[in-house]
Amino acid sequence: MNALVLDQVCKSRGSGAQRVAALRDVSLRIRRGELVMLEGPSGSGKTTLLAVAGSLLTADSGSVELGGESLCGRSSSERRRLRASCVGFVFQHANLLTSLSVRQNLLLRSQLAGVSRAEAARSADELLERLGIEKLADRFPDALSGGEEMRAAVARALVHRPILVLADEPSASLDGDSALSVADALSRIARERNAAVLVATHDARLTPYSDRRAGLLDGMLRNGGGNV
Amino acid sequence: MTSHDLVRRSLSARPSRVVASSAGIAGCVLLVLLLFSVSRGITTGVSSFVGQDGADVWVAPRGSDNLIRNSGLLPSSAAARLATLPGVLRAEPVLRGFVSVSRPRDPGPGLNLLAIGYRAPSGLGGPPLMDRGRSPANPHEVVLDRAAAWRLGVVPTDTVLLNDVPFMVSGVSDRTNLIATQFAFVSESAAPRLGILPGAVSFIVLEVDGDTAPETLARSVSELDSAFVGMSRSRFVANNVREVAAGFRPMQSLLSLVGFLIAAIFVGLLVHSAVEDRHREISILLAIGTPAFLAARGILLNVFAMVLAGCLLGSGVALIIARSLRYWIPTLELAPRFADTGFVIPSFLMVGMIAAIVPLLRLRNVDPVDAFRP
Repeated sequence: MNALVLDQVCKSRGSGAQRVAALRDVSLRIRRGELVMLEGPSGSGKTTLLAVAGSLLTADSGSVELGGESLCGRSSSERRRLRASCVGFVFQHANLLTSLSVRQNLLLRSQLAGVSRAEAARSADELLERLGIEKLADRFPDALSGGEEMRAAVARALVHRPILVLADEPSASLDGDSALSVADALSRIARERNAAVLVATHDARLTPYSDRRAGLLDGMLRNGGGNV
Repeated sequence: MTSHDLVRRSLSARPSRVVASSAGIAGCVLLVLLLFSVSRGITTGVSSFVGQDGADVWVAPRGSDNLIRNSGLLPSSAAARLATLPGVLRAEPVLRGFVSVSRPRDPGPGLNLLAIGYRAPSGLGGPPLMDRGRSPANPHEVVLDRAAAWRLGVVPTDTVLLNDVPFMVSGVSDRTNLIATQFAFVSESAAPRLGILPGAVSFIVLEVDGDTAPETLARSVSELDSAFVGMSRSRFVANNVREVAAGFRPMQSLLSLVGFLIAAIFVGLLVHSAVEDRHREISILLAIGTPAFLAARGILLNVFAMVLAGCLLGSGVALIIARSLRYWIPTLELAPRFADTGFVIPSFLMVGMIAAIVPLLRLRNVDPVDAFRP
């Protein structure tokens, strides 16, 4: 089953003279349980593609389907609800909420997806243990190392059992061991949970964890889009 | 914790900012409460005296309608005449005049006090409230206002000179400070010793029975003799408050308004900075599916808590200052009331919430895609 289908998606950013075509006729299909690496230089449109796939931005043209549900014509609140329940984000530099403990970051994410408080707590504890950071549950992000913070971010992205995880340069600020550890955890747990993962990166160390690689240049997908 | 609590907590400001902001709000609240308190302190001095129990109707010479600015006199025989009116239980004279008060060991200009002569010790028009000691029991005793006694450095049983005539301080009264001057109470029979004209009185005070309306009796008195004007207690209190506060009220209103405006601007800036400072958190929250109203609610609740903490802190400090000044500087009469706090806190909260509207609208400018940026 496809978790994400982009069909001839175009998206421009900016306005007036600053307006640029960030995505041009991008078609991409990702099955559940599949990990796709999106490669490309800075400014090639990777983040815009993640934002469109995660329903943070709407496509100017083309169609986007998330878990079989089309995003076209949906109101912003409908897209937000879909995003809350179906998508998990791993942002560059983790971007955890600094006023919340690691555990609270996970609880909030689950509750926004409509998971009950008891189930959210159970799920958060289980995932923290699987990622080996259960002892850091009550710590605040400022007290974590880069690797610990990124593992907590992976936990937050997976805790509500999304069908699609979007990760933006998850290894950019990590040393070798930490980067591999995070990539391993993300790919392993996402596959176990049958979630599709789209990782925007130009870190070659992550290549062994991917099922497929797609290249983006000047807003156009060069290869690896899959059969749409 | 619910998602509402977690969102609110995730948007909470840094502790140092919370403390600084709450202290700023507390300062505004303190300013406004002290203004109210000072204003009431000034009017309390006169309203406590003229509004005391038993003094149901005040009769003044025509042309006078308050205690402060009073020039005419009534014949002392008027008291006996008014006592015959139906419904009148007691009709007693009150004499008023300014006297110079000093200590025997310290001859000098002394204090200029508003002397009140009445039928001591239990007649109408005496001290409304005693702080220490007792009412004058003979023509050689005086009760001084608390602030006046403090300024003179005297206590009950000390001797003071009233217009160079020695009097023993029998007690100290409370709520009889007019700021510019204070009250001194002597027996009616001591008035000639102070140079107050014999055979004339400043006011006649009437106590009425339970079946007689003071307003009706006041009208009857005014119609009885063209030289008299009768005023019910409430009317007389209002006249005196007007007289005392007329010059102060506009300034108080202006300063209170300025206090409110500063607080409103302050709260507006608080919300604005809460939105700007938490831009990153807001974009992350929106990206992970938090409804915008939940983020707005979280910011508002945080600001509300900050303003409330500031209001409570300011109210507490105002109360402590008022209580402390009562002992440290009795001349500065403050009259704090919980009703003021009950008015000021909701007003500040309301002003704060109104001031928050524009900054909250800026939430719409927060792009959830910013969550992808470091």
